[in-house]
Amino acid sequence: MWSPTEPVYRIATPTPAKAWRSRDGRYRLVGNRCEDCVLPFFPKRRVCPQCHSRSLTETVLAPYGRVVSAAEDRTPLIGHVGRDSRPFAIVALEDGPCVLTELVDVDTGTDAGGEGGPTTVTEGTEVELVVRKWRREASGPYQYGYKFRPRRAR
Amino acid sequence: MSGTMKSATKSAAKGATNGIGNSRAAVGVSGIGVALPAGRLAVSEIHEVWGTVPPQVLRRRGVTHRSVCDPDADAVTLAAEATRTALRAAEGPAPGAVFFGSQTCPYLTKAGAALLADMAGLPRSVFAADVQFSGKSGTAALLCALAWVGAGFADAALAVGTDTLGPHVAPGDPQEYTAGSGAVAVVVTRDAALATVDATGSATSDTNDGFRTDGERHIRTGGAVMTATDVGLIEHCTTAWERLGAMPGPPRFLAGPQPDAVTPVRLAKRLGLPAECAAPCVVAQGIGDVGAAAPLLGLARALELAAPGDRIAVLGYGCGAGSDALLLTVRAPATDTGLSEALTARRTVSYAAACRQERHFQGLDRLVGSYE
Ligand SMILES: [Zn+2]
Repeated sequence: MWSPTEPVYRIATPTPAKAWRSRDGRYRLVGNRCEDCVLPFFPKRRVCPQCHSRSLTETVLAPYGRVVSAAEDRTPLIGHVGRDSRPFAIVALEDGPCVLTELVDVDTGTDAGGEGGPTTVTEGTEVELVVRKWRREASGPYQYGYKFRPRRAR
Repeated sequence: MSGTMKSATKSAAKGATNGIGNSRAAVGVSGIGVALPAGRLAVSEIHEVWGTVPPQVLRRRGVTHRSVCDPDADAVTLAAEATRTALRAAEGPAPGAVFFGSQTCPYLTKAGAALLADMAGLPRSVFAADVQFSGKSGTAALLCALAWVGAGFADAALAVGTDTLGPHVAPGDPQEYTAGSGAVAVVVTRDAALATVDATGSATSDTNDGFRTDGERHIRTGGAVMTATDVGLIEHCTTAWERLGAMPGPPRFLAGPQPDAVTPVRLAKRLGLPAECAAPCVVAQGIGDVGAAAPLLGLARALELAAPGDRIAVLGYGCGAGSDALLLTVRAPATDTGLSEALTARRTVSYAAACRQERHFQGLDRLVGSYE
């Protein structure tokens, strides 16, 4: 089947079972929250590191946050040949937890911006969740997950 | 007895419609969301590379740029983004059914609808199915959702039209000049906060004006004879339109198929409608043909511009060939469709970068280290 695919990785990716279990976190930031000290976590934890409680409830974290710090990866990686660099950021979600995430639709300095073009990301830039293709798993399926982009005006 | 039967059959035949037609079950749209990739490639740049279509013909199509699919985006991710916007705007019950309308789903044997249901956080008890009818996959999915809710199978349903035509059109093909990507998600409910659907109609025939066989990557067209003779788009849309029945006057808006920026207006003229009802719904100028999403993009624009009581006609066309027509009455204008934001957020992409992003160059599979 000829399709515009990425090659199947010949490097290790998480097992299909592990990837399947984590999908709600990847797709829509499902974390959990300690019932005793209300501390939120992403990704989900089994034990609260603060009060060692094991009673945690699943919660969908807000799809918005602010950039804490941003960086750029120019290492050419398999499955990422479409882009010349990968902008990264640590994003502090509105609900508290921080995620290390890739950014999309931001100015990396290499693409021509132009009017209405992508913004440069600095500390404090508001960002929002988008789901994108992360990679192909070693067993073949596409693995989708969260990325962030500058929050659109609304 | 037999007389009653006879007259019942007669009246049924007379009032027969395909679709929810005249059943008048209050079903309609309660939320709509749009997603477009930010990349834009100038049509003039494609012409510089290939020169396969004369510049005056390109100018006549009215498209200056086409949207370019990001390398990490596909029909599913665009659909998920549109769905997020649509569900945020819609109030009421969570969708109990998902119809994923696309001709370019990244999976052939796995439902894009299943991915979308999980990405939208819908309960596991949801019904999900992919709907494929080339360019009218979006309106076909919408009709399925309307029928589903109208029949009482669920209180709400989600219909999505999503396509990434750029990666599926051959370099140098006349279609390449307009092959865009985008998605629209529509939430269908009984209370229909935005607009009710009053009538529907469809047309279908085996017409090879465009197709892609199993195992092939690129969409082929039936050639100039098919487009020049109007046996595809114009004739099917006319048939579907006639199924809507008599109207008191022209609808305020006509959201038509947008293979380019001029077809909706041309279609309106052929249907005897003023050009002013089609022109405001055309968004193809800066994004090109977004396939299954195109007629629903027109619907999103119309719902933004409309006032309560306005009527909107939606006409979808898919090669192969078929057309769907819907007539809606607006209850309230849509406020948060994400359309204007999606049209404004753009990044200029060169032809070479677009080829790389849409994977028209397939490099060798390289072994990399343990990193990543
Ligand atoms: Zn705790």
